[in-house]
This record gives sequence, structure tokens and C-alpha cells, in this order.
Amino acid sequence: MTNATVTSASAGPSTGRTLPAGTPVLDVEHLRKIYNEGKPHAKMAIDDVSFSVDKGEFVCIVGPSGAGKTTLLRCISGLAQASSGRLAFEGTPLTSVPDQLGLVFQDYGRSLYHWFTNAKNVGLPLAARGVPKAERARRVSEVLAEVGLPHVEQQYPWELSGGMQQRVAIARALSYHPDLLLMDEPFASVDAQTRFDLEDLILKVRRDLGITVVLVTHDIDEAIYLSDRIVVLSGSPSKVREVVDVPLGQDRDQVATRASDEFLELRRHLLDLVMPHGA
Amino acid sequence: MNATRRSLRWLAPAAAVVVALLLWQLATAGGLFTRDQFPTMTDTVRALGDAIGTEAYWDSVLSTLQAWFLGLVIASVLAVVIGSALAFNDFAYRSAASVIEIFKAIPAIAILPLVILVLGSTLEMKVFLIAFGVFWPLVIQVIYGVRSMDPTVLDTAKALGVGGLRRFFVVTIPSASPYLATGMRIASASALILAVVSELVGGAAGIGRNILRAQNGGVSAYPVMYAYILTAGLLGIILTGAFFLFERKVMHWHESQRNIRANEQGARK
Ligand SMILES: Nc1ncnc2c1ncn2[C@@H]1O[C@H](COP(=O)(O)OP(=O)(O)OP(=O)(O)O)[C@@H](O)[C@H]1O
Ligand SMILES: [Mg+2]
Repeated sequence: MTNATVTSASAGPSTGRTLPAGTPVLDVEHLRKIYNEGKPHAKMAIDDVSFSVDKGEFVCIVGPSGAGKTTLLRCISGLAQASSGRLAFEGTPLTSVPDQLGLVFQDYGRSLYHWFTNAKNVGLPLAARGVPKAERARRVSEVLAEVGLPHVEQQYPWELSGGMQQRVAIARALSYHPDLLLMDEPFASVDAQTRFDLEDLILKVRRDLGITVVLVTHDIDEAIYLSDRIVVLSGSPSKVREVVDVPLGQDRDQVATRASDEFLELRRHLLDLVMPHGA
Repeated sequence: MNATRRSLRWLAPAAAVVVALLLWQLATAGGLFTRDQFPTMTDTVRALGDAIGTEAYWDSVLSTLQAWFLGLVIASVLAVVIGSALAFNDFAYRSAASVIEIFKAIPAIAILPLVILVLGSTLEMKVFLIAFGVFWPLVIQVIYGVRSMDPTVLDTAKALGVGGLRRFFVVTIPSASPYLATGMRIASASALILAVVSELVGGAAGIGRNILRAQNGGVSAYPVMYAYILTAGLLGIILTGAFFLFERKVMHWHESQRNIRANEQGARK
């Protein structure tokens, strides 16, 4: 059997599957999550959340700390079981983590494997998918170059700075060309400058690969800067407060975009939504 | 400056050994002990020098090492397989925990007479005793190691589609490896003790049996006995050192090893 692999980074999602037109990549309907259900210390983390994400979209989820954003992402990714509601990935009900899903955790220090070099970290999902060794090495260098990290293959993650480590984690999630990239506060533990760089990186990656992205953040400015749409969650247990469209176009610039009137108008609206006085 | 410091690092322990040997010689030659209690250092070293030239000496060292190695390998493989299986299954873990604690509390030497009765003075007897003795503490280390795995590490494996045996070898074992290394280091030391004891009491070939033989050989053979006792000690030091180097190489990525390297570099400056 020959391995049908996508050869260029600019090629879109790697599956040959054709979804019926209009099928969302991700569909969440009336999701509810209760931890320790049925026990005395049961805790409802998510009350009722519905939204869907179309192919190629960049959607941010914002909400206050403890709103259940990580919980939501874990349910969406298939890592955690929802208590009720319907979850579909590319039209199929979600049971475990789909092969065509990439996940980037906030805590790169724990999610990168310290016992592997960067190359082995990035190549691991490829190895698990049976990609032969030579092809794997080629794709690893390709995707590391894509995230702006050539020449780190033989180093270990702990020999890199925090921002570089998160780039490696992003490269690892992209190495197998997932259709959907999920990120949980991926830039929360890096400094401001690195954060801007990584934001622009993820916009570039998204343009290059035509990938769909869902990103969780508690930073409203970041959400506006990155998204096509923003899902605003209420405090715990979360519901969708509003879904806000962000019509800022494809080309964004850290200085100009953030200073534009549309940006500031959106910012005012979102602040109004999340500030307690509005409730 | 740097060179003197480095040579001091080697010189100080060497000097301490020389001082200890001199004290030994002084205490024995000076009449504090009689020859049938404690031979002089020079007699013992001479006996050791003579023994090193014989085939019997190296045969006994090899016999002891062989049992050490086989017992350790068998116990480790069993401990990793059984320990991981228990760690992944909460019900099995809870059921087995008390049984393991009981077996761990039995000193392996207590079953030596039974093992000799069944297996005789053989290599199998030694290997069984060693494997039994080190299995229980090892399996507990494996269970702790696997159960204390960072949930993010496991989630990452699932998210990347890494499952089955690949996940076990590439994620579970490395993440539990600090516990495994500690367990192995302790197991290696007890395995050597058990090997010598089983030879001493059980009469199987090895360093322990040669100690016993020299003891039966009367006062004139006492230096030989001490030469073998010294050999057992040296073997222990060599195995510990080898383990230390092995751990430093295999676990070089681990935080503790990184810190050791950083501190060493800091201390040299
Ligand atoms: N494994 C768990 N068991 C029980 N309760 C949990 C668990 N994980 C999270 N919770 C609870 O669910 C709620 C939502 O947690 P979650 O981590 O999803 O919030 P978050 O929005 O990601 O917060 P942050 O912005 O601080 O990361 C919290 O009240 C938390 O205590
Ligand atoms: Mg969170």
C-alpha cells in the first residue's frame, strides 16, 4: 500500500473525504458538562453551549476564569465525555479524539515530551499514523520551518525558550495536517512581544494551510485580533452569552488593526458583555 | 586553578581510602586484634592478589554476577508488566495492594530454606530468591510511577493519536522512569546481597560460598576469607557506579539530571 500523503504545506486539509457542502467542521448543540455527576460534590462546569464552526473559520472562545473553557475544549476534542448534548466533528458524532484534530495545550512545558528531541516530538503523531521514516523526517523539517524554527531538530524542548517550545507544540499539532486545530490559551504564559509573534504565526499558518482554528483565550484583544467570530461565554456554569462577528478581513496587523475604529468598537462591545456590571 | 580543583576531587577520596587501609594495618599489626579475629591489611591484600590470579576467583565473581543479572532482569520485566497492568486498573490495584504489601514485608531470606529445599544449591535457587526479593519493592515503584503520570502527558498522547503499545513504550515508561530508576538502583543493591547470602547459606557457587570455604579452612585461610569479603564490597561499589553512569546517560533529559549538570557547572566556576 502506498501512503497517500499531502506533500506540500500549502495543500489544504489532507483528507480525501468530501463532506457534503455546508457541513460544519464542528457542531456543538446544547452541550452540558457536570463533573462527578450523581455524586454529592457534583459540579456543573458547562450549562448549555451551542455553536458551530465552518471550514476555514477562525473562532475564538472567550470567558472569565473558571467559566469552563478548558472543559469545553476537552469535550470538543473528545478527551472528556459530555454529560448531555450533541457533538459532531465533520458530521460524525464524537466518541474519541478524531484523527484529523490537532490540539495545543496551554502548558507546553508538560505537553512536550522531555525525553524526546524536538524532531521526535513533532514526528510522534506521524509515527503513530504509520508514516515511513524518511517521509517523517522531511515533514518534520517542513513543519518546523513553517513555524519559524529551522535547525532545532536535534535539540531538546527544554533547551528552548518558552515561546519556541510553544512553536514546537504547534508544529507537532500541524505535522499531520489536521482539519481542525484546537488551542487552549496557547499564548498565556509567554511575554507580550512573543505573544504578538505567535499570534501572527498562527494567522500565517492558518492562511498557508487553510486550516480551521478554534482558540480559547481570556484576552479580549487577542480574540478580536485573531477571529472571524467570537463565542462569548458567561461565568460558571457557562452559557453562550453572544456570538460576535469580527468583520476585520483577512489581513491583520498588530499596530494598524488594533488601532482601527472597528477594532475599538468591537472591543467596547465585548467588554460590555464580559464586565460584571452588564449582568 | 581549575586543574587543582579537579585533581582535588579525585585525590581526597583516594587519600581517605589510603588512610582507612593504614588504620587497618595499624590496628591489626599493633596487636589490637589477634590474627584469628582480624587479619592484617597486608596479608589480606596479598591473599586478594593471589586469588585474582586464579580461575576459581573469577568463576565465583561471574557466578554471583550472573545470578544478580538474571534475578534483576526477571524481576524488572515482571514488575513492569504486572505493575503497569495494576496501575491502569483501579479495581485491580485496590485488590492487589494489600497482597503486595504483605509479600513485600516478608524478608526474602526467610524463604531461603524453603527455596533450597525445592531447588537445591543451584543457580535457579539464587535467581528465584533474588527475583522474589526485589520484585515486590520494584512493582510498587512501577505502580507509583505509572499512577503519578501527569494527566497532560496522557491527554497529549491521546490527542496525537498515540495509543496501544506505542503509548506504553514511548509515553508511559519514560514518564514513569524516574520511579523505575530509583527502584532499580535499590533493587540492584539488594540483589547483590541476596546473591551472596544465598551462596553463603545455600551453598550455591559464587563469592558467598568461597567466603564460607575460607572460614572452614581455619586461621591460615582468614586472609582469603577477607579477600572475598572485600571482593563483594568492591563489586557493590562497581555496580553502584555503573548504575550511576547508566542513569546519567539514559535519564539525561530529566529535570533532576539537568539540575545536577547545572550545579556541577556552577560549582566549577
Ligand atoms: N476534573 C475536574 N473535576 C471536577 N471539577 C473540575 C474538573 N476540572 C474542572 N473543574 C471545575 O470546572 C470549572 C471550570 O473549569 P475550567 O478549567 O474548564 O475553567 P476555565 O474556563 O478553563 O478556567 P481558566 O480560565 O482558569 O483556565 C471550575 O469550577 C473547575 O473547578
Ligand atoms: Mg483553562
